Amino acid sequence: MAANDAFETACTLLEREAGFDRLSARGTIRIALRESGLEAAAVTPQQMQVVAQRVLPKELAARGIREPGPIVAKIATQVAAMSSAAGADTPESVFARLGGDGGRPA
Amino acid sequence: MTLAIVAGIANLVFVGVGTLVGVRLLVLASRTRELPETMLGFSLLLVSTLGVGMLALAAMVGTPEDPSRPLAAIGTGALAWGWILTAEFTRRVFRPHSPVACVASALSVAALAIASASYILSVLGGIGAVGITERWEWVVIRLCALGFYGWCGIESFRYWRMLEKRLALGLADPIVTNRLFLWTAVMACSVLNLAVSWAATVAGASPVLEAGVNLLTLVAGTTCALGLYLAFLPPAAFVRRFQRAA
Repeated sequence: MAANDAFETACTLLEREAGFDRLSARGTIRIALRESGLEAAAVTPQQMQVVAQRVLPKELAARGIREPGPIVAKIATQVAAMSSAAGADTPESVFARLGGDGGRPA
Repeated sequence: MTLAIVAGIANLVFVGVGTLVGVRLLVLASRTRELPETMLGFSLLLVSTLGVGMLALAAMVGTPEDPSRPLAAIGTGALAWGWILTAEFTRRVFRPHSPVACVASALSVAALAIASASYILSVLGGIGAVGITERWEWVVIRLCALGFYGWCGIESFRYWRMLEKRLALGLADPIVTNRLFLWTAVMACSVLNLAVSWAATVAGASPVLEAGVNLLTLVAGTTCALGLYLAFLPPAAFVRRFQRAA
């Protein structure tokens, strides 16, 4: 599965659950990812789950969603169920390997 | 004079640490068969061991008009190829899918390769009436080196900032995050070192300027050596500090 499938899934769910249009849903998820130091093209399901649980509630509240809890729980559950393919080298995995840490990002 | 000796020792330490780290990365590359460690390992050996080492030796044994010339040519060639490998490492690790980075990197690598080949031939054949620093090759080599190190520094700084944010969410390894910071510092000090030596060469010799250059060389050389050591040959106590924080 491509790494950004997690991003697409989160956007689709947010669009459906929060009643956002496509552009707003994608923009909101992108902002949450940027706040977390992640990029849409490379985010893994596990990272997306953490972002949904820890960062997205604040972004949704800022956009007038009074109870973001159920929405983010649904997104987190669905992306957590996705399998994460072994992706290509990232700068993080390369620098982990260069220091002798075996190339395993946290 | 004392400052010059200390700055020379800092350069020697940088050569030693760069060589150790380069060898370690090539040993790692022999196991993993991956390109980043191969490129960085060769790059460090070419820049620190052969490049800085040979140029320092050339400066010690004579002037540009005498038998030190081949040493200076070898040193310059090694530096150029080391810098080319640094650029390719940066592109492959940080911008593997960017066509802009690919084209820009290829053009500047070609410029550096042509300039360094022409420069080496000039050094071997005698510079002639035009001084070394007035030659176009010298300017192109310096500009490319500054550009490559600057680019690598900016990319690693950007990625380090991203990892800092991930760290707050438990999505990054503290020691890898620190390694990106150390690599950024190494690149920043390399840019500083190159820029200062360029400015000093262009400005001409003066005691005050020489003292400033020696001081900056001392700071930059020491920081580079320390950064490389902690990033790629970290002592156990340093690693444990980060494991406790994780």
